[in-house]
This record gives sequence, structure tokens and C-alpha cells, in this order.
Amino acid sequence: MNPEDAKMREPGAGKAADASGRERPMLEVDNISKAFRQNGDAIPALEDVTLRAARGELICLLGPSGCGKSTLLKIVAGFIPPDSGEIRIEGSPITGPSPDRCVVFQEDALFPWLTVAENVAFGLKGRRLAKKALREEVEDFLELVGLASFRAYLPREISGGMKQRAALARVLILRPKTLLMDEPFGALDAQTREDMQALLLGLRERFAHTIVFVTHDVAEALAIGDRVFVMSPRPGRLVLETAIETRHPRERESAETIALARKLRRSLRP
Amino acid sequence: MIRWIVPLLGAALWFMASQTGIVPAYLLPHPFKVAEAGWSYISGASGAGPYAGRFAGDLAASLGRVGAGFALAAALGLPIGILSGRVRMARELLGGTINAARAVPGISWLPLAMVWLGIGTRTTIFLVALAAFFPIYLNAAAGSRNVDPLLLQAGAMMGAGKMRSAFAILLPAAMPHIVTGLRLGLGISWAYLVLGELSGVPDGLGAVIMDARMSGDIEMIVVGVIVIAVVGKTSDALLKLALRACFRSARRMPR
Repeated sequence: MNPEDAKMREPGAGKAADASGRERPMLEVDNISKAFRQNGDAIPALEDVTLRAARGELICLLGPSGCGKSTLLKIVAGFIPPDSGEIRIEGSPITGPSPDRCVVFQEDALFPWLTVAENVAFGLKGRRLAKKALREEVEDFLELVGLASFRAYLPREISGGMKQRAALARVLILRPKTLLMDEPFGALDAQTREDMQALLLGLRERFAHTIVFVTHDVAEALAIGDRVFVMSPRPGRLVLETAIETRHPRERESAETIALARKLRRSLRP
Repeated sequence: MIRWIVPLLGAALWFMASQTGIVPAYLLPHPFKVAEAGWSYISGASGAGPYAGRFAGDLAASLGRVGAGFALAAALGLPIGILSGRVRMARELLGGTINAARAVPGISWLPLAMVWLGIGTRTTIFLVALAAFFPIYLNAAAGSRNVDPLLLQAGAMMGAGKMRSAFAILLPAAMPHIVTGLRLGLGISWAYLVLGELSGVPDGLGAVIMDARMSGDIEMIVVGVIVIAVVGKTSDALLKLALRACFRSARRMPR
């Protein structure tokens, strides 16, 4: 990695570059603030968060636990409303959850009474689609994430890594514009996590999704992110933005990566 | 196999107690005498003995009462329970009243039910429905209330509307609780069936026990108790089978 590849900037300073000047960003997060009420007190969770993600870009939100990064993701997903600010997808403000913005959750959020294949088919079943076409789509996406031979298993019968593969397939099949990933590989062992990161990068190559990836793992952010945003704890604010232009597959143990990791870790400490 | 050990051991103890005469026959009749009375009750020709040939009619009458009462309880308890679990307004509107009513022992409704509905089938159905309602309602409410919000969020993001969320996510996610509530409700139905039938109806498995008590026929009392145990257990197994046949989520519950 060339040191020039990794540029450190203050957040917001790179706005013009993010939009690349050519097209409208896929995702625009504008001045989002959110506080939670607890025993009558307002606990600020997010403060004035603004970021852009270009079409096909993979941005990582890196921060310690409790910094509000998952809250930000839930707001982008439309599960909870912000107190102030606006979120736009291709220029249109969001109003609630939609297959536009599909989430891969941290925990296992598959439907436990459905098989892997039925879980993957769930979203498409709500759309008018011939039975045969639906079955073929499901087969294709099971194949894509390497679960074809586990189609008839129930979620409780497969491993954590396989569950997250199924969770990926069930949203990819809906052709979302953006993928929101909430520490999706956090509970997996190191080897499985690297496999899943490689799978995600391969899928991104193919579908060119815009991806917002929440993680507390510096190495993970450096391995997959096009840009990394560091969030401060309570209230969550963006304190650092780093573009990583190194091509994939990235060398995990190069001197530059290690230097960058050290820098990110330092910025994570208050 | 293991499940048969305790009943068989109990039967063996009973046999020994009767055979050796430790327990006199007027307190606990000999198992062979009970078997004889039971055989006559179940398969004897009508008129061959005091209870011969009554079984089919008694069983049909009791099944009808339990079926009607239980169905009524489920038809009210499930929707009201699921609604109370999800909608705060419904919970606050109904929860207190239902819990107060639940605190009243079912048997204290008997005199009132007899005044309102007379002695017989209608009172019995009322008691069964009342008793079965509470476990069905409470478990449906707990089940729908405890559904992981993540599952509903996942459904919403995949484009599921309100109706689909209710039937394709909420209901199957609450199914383990719903099944528990229905099974508890059916179990208690049999208890209240006997209570209702003791109040004086001509037929039914509870009525047989009452008749036998009146005429001091202790063998027949024991036969009645055993028949109700067997029929109750069988109805529970059939309920489980029926739920598994009807609902994928019931079939795939972890056991």
C-alpha cells in the first residue's frame, strides 16, 4: 500500500470528491441527530451526522460499542425516525423500511420456522412472480452464497456463518439499491469472518451495491472499506474520514495497513 | 418406553395393596374388579349391567361439551390475546378485567351459571369455555408480545405489509406460546367438564362418576377416573397432531 493511497481528512472536507462531481450520490445522510429518552432525560445518541455514499461504494462506520453506529443504520433503514435531519436515496427522502435499503442484522434474524430456501424466498413471495421463476431465483441466490445443499435446513440446524450467508441471500434476491450491514460478521470466528468478507467483496463486484457496513473491528474496516468513518462515543459524531484506495485483495499485514490501523485505533480512543 | 414406568409401577402397587388386603376394598377396589366394571361399561351389551353400554353415549356427550367449550375459548382467547399482546390500548382496556375474572376460582361460577343457564349442557359448556379461556388468552398475549422486533423489522424491510406481517411473521413467531396455551386450555377443559357434569346431567363421563357415587359403586368411580385420564391424554395428543398438521411453524418448533 502506498502511503498516498490512504488520505486522512476531516469529515465533510471531502464532500465534493465523494459525489465525484458526476452523479448524485446513492445515499445522502444529512445532519441526522437523535436522542433517546430515559427516565425523563434525553440521552443524545447521534449528533449532526452527515455523510454521502456514491453508487457502488462501500463505506465503513467504525466506532466503539455504544457510539450510535447501529442507531444510525436503523435510521437509514427506516426502522426509527431521526429527531432532525434527512436521508435520501437517489435524491428521494426515505419514509420507512423498504427493500431499497436491506439490512443484514448482527444477530440471526432469519425466520426460525422457515427453511433456508423459504427464508430466501420470503421477500420475493410478496411480489407477483410465477412459481417456477421464484424457485429458480431462489436456487440462483442459494448457489451464489454457497448454500445450495443446505436449502432444506432450518436456521437452528446450520452454523453462524451459514446463517449470515442466508441473511445475505434473502436480501440480495430483492436487488436492493443499498445494503446496510450491522456488524454482520461480528459473532463469527476469525477464519469464517475473513471468508464472509471475501464473499461480500465478490458479491459487490458483481452487483455493484452501495454498502454501509457498521463494525467495531479496525482490521475489518481496513480489509473491505472504500472509505472509513470513525465515530466518537456518546453522542455519536463523525470524527475522522479515511479513503482507502488499495485494490483488493488487500495485504492485511503490510506496514502501511498496520500504520493506518494504528492511526484509526488512536482516533477511536477519546 | 420411560413414560410407561410410573403408570405400570402404580398399577403394580395397587395390585399388591389390594391382593394382600392392606387397603380394604371399600376404599380402593381390586384392580381386576375395576377392569371387569370397565369392560362391562365400555363393551357390555346394554342392560347387562347398571352401566353396560353407556360408554359410547357418555363419551360422545362429553366430547361434544369439551369441544364446544374449548372451541369457544379458543375463538375468543386467541384473537383477544394476540391483540392484547400487540396493542397497548387493548391491553390496558381488557387486561385488568380479565385478570380480576381469572382470580375467581372456576367453581364459584357454578351456582351463578346454574341460575343463568340451568342445569346441564349449557352450564357445562360455559364453565369449560370460561376455564379454558384464561390460559389460551394469557399465552397468546405473552407470545405475541414477546415476538422479537427484529423479525418484524426484517419483514418490513423485505416489503411485507401489515396483513402479511401478522399472518406470516407474528402468528408463526408466537406459535410456541399459542400451542402451550391451547394445550393448557384443553387440559383444564376436562377438569371443568367433570365439574359441570357433576351438577346433574343424565349423560357424560363426569355424570357416570356422580351416578356411581350416588349408588356407592366405587369400582365405577375408579373406572370413570381412569377413562377421563385416558381420554384427556388422547385429546392432548390429537390437539398436538392437529396443530402440527395445520401449521408449519407448529411442526417446526424446537421440541
